[in-house]
Amino acid sequence: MTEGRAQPASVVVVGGGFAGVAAAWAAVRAGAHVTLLHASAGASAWYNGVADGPPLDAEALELAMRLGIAVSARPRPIATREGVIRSVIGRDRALLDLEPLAGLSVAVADVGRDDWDAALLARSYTESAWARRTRTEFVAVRVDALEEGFERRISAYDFGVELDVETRVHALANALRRADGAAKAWLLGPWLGVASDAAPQLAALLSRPVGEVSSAPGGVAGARFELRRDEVLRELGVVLRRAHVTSVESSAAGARLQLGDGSGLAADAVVLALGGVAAGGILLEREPASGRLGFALSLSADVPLKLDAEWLDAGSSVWGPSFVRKGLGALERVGVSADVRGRLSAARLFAAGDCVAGRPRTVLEALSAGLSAGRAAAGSAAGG
Amino acid sequence: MQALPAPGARPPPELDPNGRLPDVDVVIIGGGVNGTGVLRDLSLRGIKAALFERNDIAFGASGNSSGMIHGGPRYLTADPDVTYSSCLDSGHIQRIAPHLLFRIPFLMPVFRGNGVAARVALTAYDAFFSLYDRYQPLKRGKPHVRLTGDEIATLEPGLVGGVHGGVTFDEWGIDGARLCIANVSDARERGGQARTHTTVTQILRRDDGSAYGISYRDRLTGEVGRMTSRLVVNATGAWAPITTGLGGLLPDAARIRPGKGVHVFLDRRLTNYAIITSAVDGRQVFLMPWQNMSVLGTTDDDYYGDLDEVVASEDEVRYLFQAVEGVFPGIRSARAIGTWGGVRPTLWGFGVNEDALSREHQVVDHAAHGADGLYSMIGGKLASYRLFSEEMSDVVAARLDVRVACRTHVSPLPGGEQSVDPMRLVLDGGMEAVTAARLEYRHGGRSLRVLERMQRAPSEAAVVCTCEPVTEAEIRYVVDTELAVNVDDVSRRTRLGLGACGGMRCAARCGRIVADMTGRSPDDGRRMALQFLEGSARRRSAITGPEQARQEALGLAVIRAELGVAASSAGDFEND
Repeated sequence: MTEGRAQPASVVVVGGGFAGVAAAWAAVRAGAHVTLLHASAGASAWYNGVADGPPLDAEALELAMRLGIAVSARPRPIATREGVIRSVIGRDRALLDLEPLAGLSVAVADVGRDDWDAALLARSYTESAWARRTRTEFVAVRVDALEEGFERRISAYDFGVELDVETRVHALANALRRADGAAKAWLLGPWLGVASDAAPQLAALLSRPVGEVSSAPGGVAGARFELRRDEVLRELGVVLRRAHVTSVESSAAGARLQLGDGSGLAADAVVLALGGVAAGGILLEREPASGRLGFALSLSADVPLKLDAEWLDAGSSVWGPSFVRKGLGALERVGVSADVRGRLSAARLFAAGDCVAGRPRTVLEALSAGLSAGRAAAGSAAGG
Repeated sequence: MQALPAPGARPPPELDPNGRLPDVDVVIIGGGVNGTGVLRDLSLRGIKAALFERNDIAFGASGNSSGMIHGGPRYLTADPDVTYSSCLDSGHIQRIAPHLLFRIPFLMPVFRGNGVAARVALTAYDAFFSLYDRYQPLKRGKPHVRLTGDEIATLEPGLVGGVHGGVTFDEWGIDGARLCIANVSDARERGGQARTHTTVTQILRRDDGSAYGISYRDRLTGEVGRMTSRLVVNATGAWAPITTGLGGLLPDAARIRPGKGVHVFLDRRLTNYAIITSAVDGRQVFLMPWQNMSVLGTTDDDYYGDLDEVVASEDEVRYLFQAVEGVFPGIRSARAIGTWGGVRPTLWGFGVNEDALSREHQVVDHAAHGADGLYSMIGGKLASYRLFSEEMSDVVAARLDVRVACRTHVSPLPGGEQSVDPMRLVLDGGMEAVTAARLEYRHGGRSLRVLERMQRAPSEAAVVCTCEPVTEAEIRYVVDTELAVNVDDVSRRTRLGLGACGGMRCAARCGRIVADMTGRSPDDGRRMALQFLEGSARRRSAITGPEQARQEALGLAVIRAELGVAASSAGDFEND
């Protein structure tokens, strides 16, 4: 090692969702050595392919693209599995972009799966404000796409895995062609491949737009995110470890993490991207010592939680917060309090994504916040 | 207790004040178990009746009770005649609706902590239930068994706290909402009429004070109208004093002491027996396996709030959990998935504790208040609904001089006339076994009609609610034949959306189906679904603990992603 050359700063990112991968990406680009620890599937792995949030800067756009999210400057219409046409800035690229189809007739494939009532969905899309305004029509078309009886009832994810096989994609293209060779575009259920890009393949084979609707939680969109995340992190040279973090201690000199397997890990800076209540980063739990029920971070760290304007460090009820009074929406507002760069009051500790109090729980917000926090963490580590 | 018309009571006038024949013989207000029971009884006797329900059938206490058709052991020492008639009627209900009944074996443990008192208590229970055993054959119940602490540890290993011994006894449960639906369906097939979501706005009275019908407003369409009749029966349970007020009577003409009761349901079966234990104030509460979940109940508190918005409070939920946690700590690992709240129309009493109030029932003849021809049904309990309805119908029949005896105890309810082997539904309909078993439980012999739908339109075999599970064919069947007009109504009839996922996967689709069948727009369907989801979230807010919180947060995220951040409640595309 050359004398005088500093070791690259080490940054540990806790959490493997959108915010975590963005923090890792930014920290690596800022020259840090990054380890990403993640425990289990969180809200990002459950996302439905719809990416709401603020407009992105160039770096965020690049990352979004790598994660399979098509981002547009203006909101564009997509179809959700509950029969709604809604506008999104970002979407999993398998979702059918309806903007160029305005005024046309879109075929909704009725493949006979139990979770997909094509006729009623087509009616619901056709009667939406967007379709009425643009005179777009959705028509259910019977398609013989199932090869086995069980395919009627397996989950959309499991059916999506079958479409990862290339011959199956060709068979589906043929089935669509047979069902209606003249269809201008095809809207299908959320099962156009998990590891593969079946949607663009189908579009190429049929030379017309083909895409899916948004996924249910636990569907293909979240699974695709996880695969693409792993690929991005591999290319960045990020060390990816499946580990549960039990505590983080930080000071002006650096940070130390304790892992569930008993081992420890030192870092110059730490980014908490644990997710909110939905992801399990913030728990509503019974504290073993006091028996008190309340919100707590899923790991031990010297950072208090905040809900709206209140600090949650002192309880007023042994039974925990009253959701009858605060509403269940409190579950989405609780978190740690961080500044715009994701800095917590504690030294060398940063946070991004759904674990931050009072921020919108959206994909693009998590990406932007993750990038800021990753950049700030790498900067603090290098500067310190 | 019952008010038979005085000998020589005049029959009500044949004509309304305008000199016209009335639309029906009897208007019944209230679609709970008593109102639907009377509608069925009168329809079986050939008396023309119409029922008006402000919300949905079984919306109130009838659809939110523990569903016990018990034999009334609590009356055994003070009034054994009541026990006898309760057991007899429990037996009748088993015969007319066998598909809806399920056995509830109770276990009453005695804890060692009480020392000598434990032995005395066990001996007393043993003696008491020996007496109750004499009535058990009336309702096909098994005799009680006295168990040692070791035997109980084997049968119910989750019980802690030093069990000295205990006794078991046998009762029956029923789905209260399905019972009401069965009564309405039978009545409608025999010429009775029923209108749901239609509130009575006034009880019409002649110059001499006698009642001759009602005016109403449809709460969904706003349509208003009148229906004239010779008699009016107020069977509105906890709403009874409000209803008599619609005829200009003072609320104490039909005075009740409203007692709110809540139940919490948990995501799994925790016990083999329904276990009875004591709450902090000494009241008995129970933890009972019910279909694929457990039910914890019940509370009893005076209630003077909005009857259309009865929701379990945090205090009530804590009270119930606290009662069971000490003896069955396993309850902490279960996830609470919902609550029921209902208000009992208990007979009025002053200076008594809620629990000690009489569960007896009474027909009030409002002739005493200057409103001849108007009757109120006060008090009662689910288990005695048939008997109470018979008593009310006897009064009506006597006034109208109809000499046809009651047949509700021998004539089967819809679905009870024929038994169906669920395996047949599996083999003929391609349903999964659990889907078939649930369908058969809810519809008995009528499940064959749901099967026919699937055979006609195979796409209707799709399982829409995967938790319970509920098929599209069943949803369409209850919309077609059981007066369901929104997602809440379908849920009340089929349990759609009441399982572990809370309707996240099925409510919107159910809304689309209902909207389509009732000639409404997809937006209306979505509104119905949101209304259902918001209602169930409100019913869960008092039980949101560690296990529930993550799912609730995820649910909020899913709704937002489906409908959009800036979406209106219709969720349509407005933000570009």
